[in-house]
Amino acid sequence: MKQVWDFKSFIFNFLLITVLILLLAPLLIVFISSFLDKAHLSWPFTDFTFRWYVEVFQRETWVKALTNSLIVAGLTTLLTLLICTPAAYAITRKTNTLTGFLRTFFMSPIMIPPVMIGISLLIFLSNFGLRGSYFDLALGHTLWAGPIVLITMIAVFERINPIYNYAAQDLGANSLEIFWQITLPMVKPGLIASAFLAFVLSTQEFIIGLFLYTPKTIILPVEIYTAIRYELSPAISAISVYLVGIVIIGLFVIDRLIGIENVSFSGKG
Amino acid sequence: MTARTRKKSSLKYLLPAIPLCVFTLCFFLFPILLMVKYSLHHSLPYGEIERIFTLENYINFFTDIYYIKVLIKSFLLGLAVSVVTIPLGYIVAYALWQSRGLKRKILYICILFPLFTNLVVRLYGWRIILSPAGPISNFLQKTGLAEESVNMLFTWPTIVLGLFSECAPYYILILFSVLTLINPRYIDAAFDLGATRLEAFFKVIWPLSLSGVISGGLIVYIWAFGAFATPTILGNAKHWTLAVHAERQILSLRDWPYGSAFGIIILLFTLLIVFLQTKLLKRKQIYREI
Amino acid sequence: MKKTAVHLQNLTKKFNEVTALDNITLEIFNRDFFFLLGPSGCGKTTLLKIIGGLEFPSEGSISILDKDVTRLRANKRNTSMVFQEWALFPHMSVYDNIAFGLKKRKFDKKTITRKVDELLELLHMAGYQNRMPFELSGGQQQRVAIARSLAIEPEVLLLDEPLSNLDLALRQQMRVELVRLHKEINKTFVYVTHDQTEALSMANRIAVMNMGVVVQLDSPETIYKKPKNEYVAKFIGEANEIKGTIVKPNLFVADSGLQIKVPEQDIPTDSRVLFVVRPEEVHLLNQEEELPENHFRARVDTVSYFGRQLRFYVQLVDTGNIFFIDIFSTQLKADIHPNQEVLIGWKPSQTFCFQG
Repeated sequence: MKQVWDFKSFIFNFLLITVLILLLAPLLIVFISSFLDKAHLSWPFTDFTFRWYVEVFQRETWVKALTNSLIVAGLTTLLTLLICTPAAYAITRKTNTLTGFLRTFFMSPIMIPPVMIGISLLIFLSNFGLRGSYFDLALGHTLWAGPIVLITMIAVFERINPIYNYAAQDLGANSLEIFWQITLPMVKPGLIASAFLAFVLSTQEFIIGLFLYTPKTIILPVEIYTAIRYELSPAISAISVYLVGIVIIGLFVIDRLIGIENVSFSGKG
Repeated sequence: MTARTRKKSSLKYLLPAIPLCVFTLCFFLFPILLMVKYSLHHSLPYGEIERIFTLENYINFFTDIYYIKVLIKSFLLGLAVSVVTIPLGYIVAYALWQSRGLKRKILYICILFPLFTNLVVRLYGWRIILSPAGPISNFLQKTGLAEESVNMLFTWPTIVLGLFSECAPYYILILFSVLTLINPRYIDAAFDLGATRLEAFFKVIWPLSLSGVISGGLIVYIWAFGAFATPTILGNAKHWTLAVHAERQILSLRDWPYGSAFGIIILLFTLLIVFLQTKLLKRKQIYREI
Repeated sequence: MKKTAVHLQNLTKKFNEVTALDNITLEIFNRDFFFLLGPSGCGKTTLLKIIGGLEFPSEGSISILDKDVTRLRANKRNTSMVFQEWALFPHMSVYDNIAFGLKKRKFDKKTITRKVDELLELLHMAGYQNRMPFELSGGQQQRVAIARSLAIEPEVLLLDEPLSNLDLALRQQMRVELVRLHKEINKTFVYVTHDQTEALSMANRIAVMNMGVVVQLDSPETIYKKPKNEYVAKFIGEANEIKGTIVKPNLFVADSGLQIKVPEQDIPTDSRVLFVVRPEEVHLLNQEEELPENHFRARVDTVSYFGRQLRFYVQLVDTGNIFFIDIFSTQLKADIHPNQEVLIGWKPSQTFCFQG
């Protein structure tokens, strides 16, 4: 079928491209501005340099915030995988009212504004005198990343034909052996992808972090948030590009492992 | 007796879900309940708390015309963002659904990339673009459309734009997941019966995708209503939503009982919206079954 | 007396409100090549899964070699199943797949290697130890799946439509091999299929199932020659069917007025019945030969050629009933053309009447 020029599809494509520009323009401008050879950002952009990418690593606050972000993301990934993998396995075994309820229950943290998680966890942790460790932030980030990772893991587990479980059981394996020797090796790529997803989500999270950070455990998004109140500078852009770089690497790895299309948000979620 | 033993063993498969269950109960549900408790306490200066039972925080909120206005503003902001996001996001979700192969992959990345990228970085980008020293202001001056530098920050349209770019990717993906459930042959069938493209869309696809529009739109509304980062980075005190005030009460003023009450009010309104949405969805489904 | 391998007593299986198996009682003897035959949805696979311990009955009991196993899970039973999709573990080599069950039974490494080698030898797959499942053809995967099940030396081998994913030539070859295998290892095989040819050619006993019950349990020959009811007659093989009434114990009158001599059966006179005769039991007759009791003049409608066999559709001159007749091409003496008039007939003893 040959496409003929028609007004309606022109409007459609125009709006499509407009939305995509609105989604991508802020990231693009941050990227471009990071090469600017001025102390402060102002148009027009001239005189490009690479020096900010080196210079940000000479400022202790940035290095500390980036390191903290990576530590928190590592803890979040570990925690998310440990509790979400078995849960995803369990609730994909059967489809009934109970597993349906559990799915909704596990999704509930992302169904309310993230500010709520921040406030309630802050009160909770202070109430029990638990402030000040990386683990606080990891807890908050797990509440955020967990449900999204769970959706992906559920999709991964649901793709396994239950016939393999039957076959393994038939040959004498018990439930635990089936999980370790059959299911786990088969979902391995999906789990690695989930780990990257959790890591990326944690490094990019900001609101929960704002409530739970302490000067010792300040994370990069909070540091950027504080910085941009006072100035717009190529240095901030450069450190932002490093943060965005984590997303690019993460998405690339996830795409190689399970295909990017498998990261999704179900209508139910 | 056999029936009972079987019931018992049939729940054993849920054992691996226990850690996540405990985690969600301990670090999500329990803290929310604790927040409810705090919101019923009396606050003293310097962040001290008097542990008595009082409704004063709620009474103070609902008798303060300033906060009532904030509540209404938050509502209207959520509404405005939903109205913008629902049709525009639909176009992208539809294009994604219709595309195949490499085009689909590129579109998917264009949506996932901003979705995962840190919100502060994206809002920072908007600040660069819309600031008086930014490219748009510069362009307007050069072409003579504006005489001096233009500051588009700290305006309502800018905040709606910021929230749109924050929420749209989620909405698009939720809607897309519903669209993929529709059999593309329905459209072919509609064309076969002589429908134009627009007719086919409104008669066939739109009704079938409505549940995605509603649940995706709901997420957009909830997040815009409870928005925090966008109003603080792109707006000023005039644009603060309920969530920003909650954060101020908690982190700046250290009035935890009052801040908690703000949080609980956000939560209650969120639950109210969810409740209305399920009612709406149920009625639509009944309508569709007929 | 034959030893019982599997004994099912009053077995019922319900999925929510749907009854998949309804009060089934049957015995499978030791060393049987036993077939469960029926259309999809008749409950045959559910029954097989219950024998294997992959499903549990809602009511009734099951014992294997006189041991009650009703509540034992699959991993505690001495049965093994070959699945329709073969279900070879995709991340394990052929060796690891076959060794899987042996490792669970704590054999030492030497014994495992020896057994795997023997099994691959038995199934003509020697030397394939290190291949991965995706490197194998369908037929080869099938053999590995069988070897994997045989490795744990089950008393009863369960096969769930194992050949349905193979092409016709391979399927025929595997049928012969499975029969040979059954003879060689001398164990009980329970085989589920919807393919009547497979059942008739391989089984020594067949249970024909329909809608959750066993309709007939007999040897293949009896099932084909003496179907118990209309359902079995129609499901196994093909048949000419005519509706009508029994007017005398040995006389059937069709609705068209056609009168047919039938063997005496326990059917009251004046009851409505379905008359059935298999296409290969209807013969083309010569005037010179002695004519059977039933013979009719007919006109040839169409002739279809199937290689070694021909199928005629004929219409009776007097009553207009249509019959189809199968004849081996070698037995045909002269050419027969459409519109030609012929004489057809059959012996009463080769026909059945079923009460409707």
